[in-house]
Amino acid sequence: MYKKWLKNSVFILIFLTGKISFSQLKSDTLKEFVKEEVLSNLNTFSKVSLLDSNSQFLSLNEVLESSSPVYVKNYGKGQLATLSIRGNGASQTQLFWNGFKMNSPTLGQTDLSLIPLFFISEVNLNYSGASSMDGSGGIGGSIQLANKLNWKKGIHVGILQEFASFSNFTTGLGFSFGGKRFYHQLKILHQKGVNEFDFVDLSKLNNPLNTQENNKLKQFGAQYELGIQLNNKNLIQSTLLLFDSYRELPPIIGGVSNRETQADKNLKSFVSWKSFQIKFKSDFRISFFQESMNYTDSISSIFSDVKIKTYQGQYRIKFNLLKKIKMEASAQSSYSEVSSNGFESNKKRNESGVYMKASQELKKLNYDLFARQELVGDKLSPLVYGAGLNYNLGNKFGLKGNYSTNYRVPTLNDLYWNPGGNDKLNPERGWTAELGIDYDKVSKKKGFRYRKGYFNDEQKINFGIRGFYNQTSNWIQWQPTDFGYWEPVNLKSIENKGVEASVKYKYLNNKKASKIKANFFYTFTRSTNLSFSNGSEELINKQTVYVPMHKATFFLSYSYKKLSFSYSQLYNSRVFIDASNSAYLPHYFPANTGVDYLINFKNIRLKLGLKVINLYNEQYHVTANRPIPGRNYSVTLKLNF
Amino acid sequence: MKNITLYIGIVFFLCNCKKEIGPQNVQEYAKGTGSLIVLNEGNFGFGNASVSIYNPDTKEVFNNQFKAVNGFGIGDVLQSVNRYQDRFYFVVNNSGKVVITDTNLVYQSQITGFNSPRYIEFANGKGFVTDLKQKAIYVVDLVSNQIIHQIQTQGWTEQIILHQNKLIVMDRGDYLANSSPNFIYIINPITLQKEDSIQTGINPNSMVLDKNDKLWVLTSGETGTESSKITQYDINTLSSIKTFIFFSSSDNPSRLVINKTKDKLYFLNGSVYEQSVSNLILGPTLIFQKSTENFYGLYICKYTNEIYVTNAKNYSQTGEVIRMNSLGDVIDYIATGINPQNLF
Repeated sequence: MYKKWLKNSVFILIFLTGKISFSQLKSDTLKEFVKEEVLSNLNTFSKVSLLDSNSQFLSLNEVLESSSPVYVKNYGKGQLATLSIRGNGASQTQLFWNGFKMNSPTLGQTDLSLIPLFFISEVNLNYSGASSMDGSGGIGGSIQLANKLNWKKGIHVGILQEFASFSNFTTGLGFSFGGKRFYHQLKILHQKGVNEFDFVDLSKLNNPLNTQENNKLKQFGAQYELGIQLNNKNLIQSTLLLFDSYRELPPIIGGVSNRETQADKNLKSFVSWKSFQIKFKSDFRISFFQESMNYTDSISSIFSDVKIKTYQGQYRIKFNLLKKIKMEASAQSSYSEVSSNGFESNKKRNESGVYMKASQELKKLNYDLFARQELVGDKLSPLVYGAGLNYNLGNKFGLKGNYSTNYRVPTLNDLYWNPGGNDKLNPERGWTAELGIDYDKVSKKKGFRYRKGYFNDEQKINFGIRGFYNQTSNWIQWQPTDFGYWEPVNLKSIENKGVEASVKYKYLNNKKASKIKANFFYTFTRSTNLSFSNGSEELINKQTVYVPMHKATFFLSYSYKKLSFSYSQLYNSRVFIDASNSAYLPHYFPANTGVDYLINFKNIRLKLGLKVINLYNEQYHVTANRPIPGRNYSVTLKLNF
Repeated sequence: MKNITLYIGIVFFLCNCKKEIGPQNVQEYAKGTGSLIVLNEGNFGFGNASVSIYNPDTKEVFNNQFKAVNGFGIGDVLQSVNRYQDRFYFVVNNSGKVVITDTNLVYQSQITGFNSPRYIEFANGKGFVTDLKQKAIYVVDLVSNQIIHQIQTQGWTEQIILHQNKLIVMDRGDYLANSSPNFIYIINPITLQKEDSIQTGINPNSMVLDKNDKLWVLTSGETGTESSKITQYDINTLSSIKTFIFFSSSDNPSRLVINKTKDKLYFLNGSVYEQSVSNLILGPTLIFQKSTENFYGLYICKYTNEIYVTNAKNYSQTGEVIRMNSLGDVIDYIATGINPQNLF
């Protein structure tokens, strides 16, 4: 009965809200209307917002690596990149595209290198339970990618061009047309690279330099966004994204290239209908994804082909309860169809869920309470819930604490891979707690007149420190069997604990037209095995592979009039590369730096940029025997009118 | 200003003090000596294969010896080793190469150009290298270290034995499909021609010659079609003499080896088993019962008759080799590199 109710919850919610009065609305400004989301982030949980205007040439992994506290693992330039949030793995990181789960239902992961930021306007990193507003699965956390309508009236054109080392060329085109009721935006991206860089060949006597081979990539993407303001309380937003990637997969150092290639084709689309009434706001969204992944190793005669279609629907509402309690709720449903030559037959998966959040702002305290219940196939998933609070300690200090649970269902590969798939797997379950202190100070100098304008001096300082603890049990891992193939089992429990610290500083001097921005993140993560179901006691208390104990990033930018300068520094401490902690990759400390110059001519803005990547020409591996290029350069050109 | 100086100081400190690139071992081993080589296969695509040296007299083990001696890793997936005159020939499967060292593991040269090499044997002054994917046996000139010829085969060629100046080579069929029928070829190393063949059971995985020059072949069979079995063949008449069949579907026997006097067969079937070459009717006897171990390789010392069984654990951690006498009494536990696969 309960299950049936969950399945039908989308309709029930629509039915319920249909009864709420349809009174007229005061006029909203369009901007707010476009920006405001019906489901808001849990602000008693930690969150990191990323992305600035200089990220347009980058893919998601590059931004996460250089300006967030999380650890990014990659297989080399342009190759597979995944995320580890607070010691959890790539599979425990859930990605959402405009609120829809986008991890592959077969692999349970997303390749971050296939997400160019050119098509995205907002990126948020949510930790653990805070990812539950969109869906389950983010035991470590989630990345939210969002398209926001940049509703500008009139015609606007943007052209981007990048020339970079190793024959990399990127071209981006943007065109938008905004009216009172309609907004259209079209973006096209083309990227190609040869990436034959030199690296230290550790597989040969005296470690000579060698050139990377079979490392070409080609990407093409196009995105159309549409906004329709039906009236001042109804807005339609829609995005259609096509993205094709073709890349060669290079051999490891000392390996033989089998000329392997991988082609990914993606179609992502969604339509949202936002309706903002006086007593409630709602958002009805549907999406359709079509993905295909094709891996070819013709020398070994291995051809892998996966095709996925996913249909999703969501209904979100927001209203006030007893005037002061803010309520948000959503119901969602998704259906996936997968064909893979690893399965005996095509597989389907049906998921539905309901989510509810209550939050209230009191004098010195705000709190959030949330719960999520999902149904996967006809199995009821564990209830996910959480609570958090912010307490104002005074003197600009705030205390933040929260607790939440989460879970992740086995992937279709885990369940059905032939041979080995194990349909008796239980979901992974986790809980996490976080406690931290923030200090926020904004100081403004009194406004003063200077020549023609009215100016302010502004300084913002933010300091935060948080401790976190999380446990995940029923961790799914593939294990060898006595029959020569591997099988996934609920192998172990792991524990992650650590500390994150951040310092953000911003200084704006309007008179001199100068701006300083500095960010610093540091994370300490101890990620260890707690227990095993197969008697691997000797691995208890060993650090999880590819989880650095220390990660730090530092970013500094300074701009003066039309010139700006930036420097970013990354530090990752050593990572163990085998479960017994007998081998490791050394720490690495690469830096990037760049200069931009802006030329204004009437309505035309031209920005020229020069960037040096891996400034100290450091030779390092992020994944063992997958070399990273030494010092390299890029020249960028951005034209807007 | 002070802060900036400090910061720059830290940057230079971190940049300059570091010389390590790529994978490193937490425990560095000194160069050791011992009569046994442990081949640690490593993980496919990780490039973490390694060579350990074990001294049976002192029970000392020295891991990562190839790197300790030569300053670079041996490569990706170490499959086998063989000796020719005073040289070791290490077959490194996914690096597509054979690395040649002296008996102290000092690198001499390498042979490259293989597709997916498995084993090497020597005859008529040439090297013969079997291959997983090439559907051929490579013939190597041992002076120039160049591939000079390929002998076409049906599929995946595996173990290779020199016997009375003829090469006995196992062909496992298509390496992806484990196709049958499967064959054992008799190859003349001078004419480089296949002279004859034996059709074996489905999916042969290992073979040995006994004291009477009879060939024993262990086949894995195919679920629903044929059971696993051990078959004895007369190498001269190429006919089968006797067969032992494993009837249980949970049987998955592999790694057939033979003792010093060539009258007792040993193999893995989860645990370690022994089979006398003269009395097949009684069937195999259990020598060492496994508990949670993941037995992976089996080796009988040709001098002491001691049994060495390797435990790959879950393949993602350092493994161990269990040394026991011929009755299965444990003499030593040897901590090795990742995925110890065989000894030499």
